[in-house]
Amino acid sequence: MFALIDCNSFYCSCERVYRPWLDDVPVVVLSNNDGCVIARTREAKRLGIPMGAPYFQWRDQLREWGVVCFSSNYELYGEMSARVMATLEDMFPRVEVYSIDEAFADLTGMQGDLVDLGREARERVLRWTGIPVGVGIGPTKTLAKLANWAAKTWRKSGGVIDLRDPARRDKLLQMTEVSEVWGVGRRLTAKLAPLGIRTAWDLATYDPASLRRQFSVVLEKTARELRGISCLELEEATPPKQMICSSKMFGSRVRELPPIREAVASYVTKAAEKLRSQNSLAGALQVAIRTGMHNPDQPRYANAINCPLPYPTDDTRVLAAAAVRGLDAIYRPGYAYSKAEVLLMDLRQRGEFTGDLFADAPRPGADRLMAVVDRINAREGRGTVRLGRIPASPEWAMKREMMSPRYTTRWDELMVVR
Amino acid sequence: MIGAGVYDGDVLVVNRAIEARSGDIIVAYVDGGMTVKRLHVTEDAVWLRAENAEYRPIQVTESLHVWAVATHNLHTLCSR
Repeated sequence: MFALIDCNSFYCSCERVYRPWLDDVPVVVLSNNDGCVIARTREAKRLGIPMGAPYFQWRDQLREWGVVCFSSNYELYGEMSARVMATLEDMFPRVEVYSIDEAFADLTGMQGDLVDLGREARERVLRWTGIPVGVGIGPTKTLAKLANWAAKTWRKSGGVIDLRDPARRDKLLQMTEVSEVWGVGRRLTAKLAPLGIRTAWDLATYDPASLRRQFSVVLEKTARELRGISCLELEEATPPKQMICSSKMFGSRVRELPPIREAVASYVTKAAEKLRSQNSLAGALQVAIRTGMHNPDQPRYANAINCPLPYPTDDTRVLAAAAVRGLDAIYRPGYAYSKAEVLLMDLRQRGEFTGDLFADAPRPGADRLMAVVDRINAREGRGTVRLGRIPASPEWAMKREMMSPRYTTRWDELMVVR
Repeated sequence: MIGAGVYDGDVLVVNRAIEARSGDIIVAYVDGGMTVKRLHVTEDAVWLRAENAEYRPIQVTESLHVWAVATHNLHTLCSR
């Protein structure tokens, strides 16, 4: 038995925790560089603001409607997410953190009424963190996810829907379009339509063997899960990533090489932090830059290069030096660059790596240095200790003109009360 | 909140998980803003006291939105 606990309009809810007066006001959160809408409250959805709405096109309309807009504040959202997950881990013995705002809990062996337990989880998370959540309960992960979607869609449910009863389950499956099923995207929905599969029920009752033949074993499992046969296990430990990417649009176009070098070094720093947090070493590094692609009046250019590393490493200094050398090789003057990207590849766990007798040896003390840097940055805030070539407030930094304070992670940005 | 030993610029440690009781110092959302007050519940009324002779207690007429209960206060003794 599984529960899927999902935060309602998570990014917007984080903003509302610290601004209770926004509780009945439509709120949206914008993507990096204030590009487009990536999170909407119920009120904002009702106004017809689509997901992904470009901010520059909608700005006047949003203002007219009195919609409150925020730049994304990932430091705040990450910390609030950790609070929600810690609260859930306190209640349930086995929890899989599925994304920043969703978690599966294994309810096997839990005592008492599961709906009451779901309500208690909702109340506790709301009370302890201020974040509203919905709870879906079902015998499989796919059904728990569907129940959660239903709990959000029908408010009368009180935010908890339990699909253990087969009659209820079948009724919901018949009412639900197949596109709402976990793992069935827009493209797959279009391919299923000619077979007469339009609702979740159609998929659940389709012949599993032909689903496997015509589509994939994944879709076959989805269909079985809809019928209450559990095929997907709780994944408590996520396997380490095979590739780490750090890329961002610049706040404004950049033409000169030195600021792009700063940006690349800073993206390397971020990727290397992730690399060390999963205890991996990178065997290969790629740097890419490009201009904007939509302005017909400006010359376009995009290029990427593999940068040789002397040995598999997680040393920010070694990675940054290699990346900057690569950047120097692909940079061409005369273009207005909009984005840079750093990709760490050929990742391996520390123990899996055998040193090359003829290669350069890693710099002595590098591991200890990086560990100390990570510890300081974890305590004092990211970027407290950084490479000398990265300025404190760079000109290429993202535009985040409507960002709320990082209430939970910065002493100088705490909430102020009179 | 001088009467409760809470001064301008102090850092309050708050707990959102505990339920506010009469006598607690709370962070509340009142009249469109956040405020720190002492909660005082009598048989027929709910009051928020500023613990400062210059301000009168506020009687809460609508539902009270308690944001958190203050549990500790960090007061700076030397800012050098």
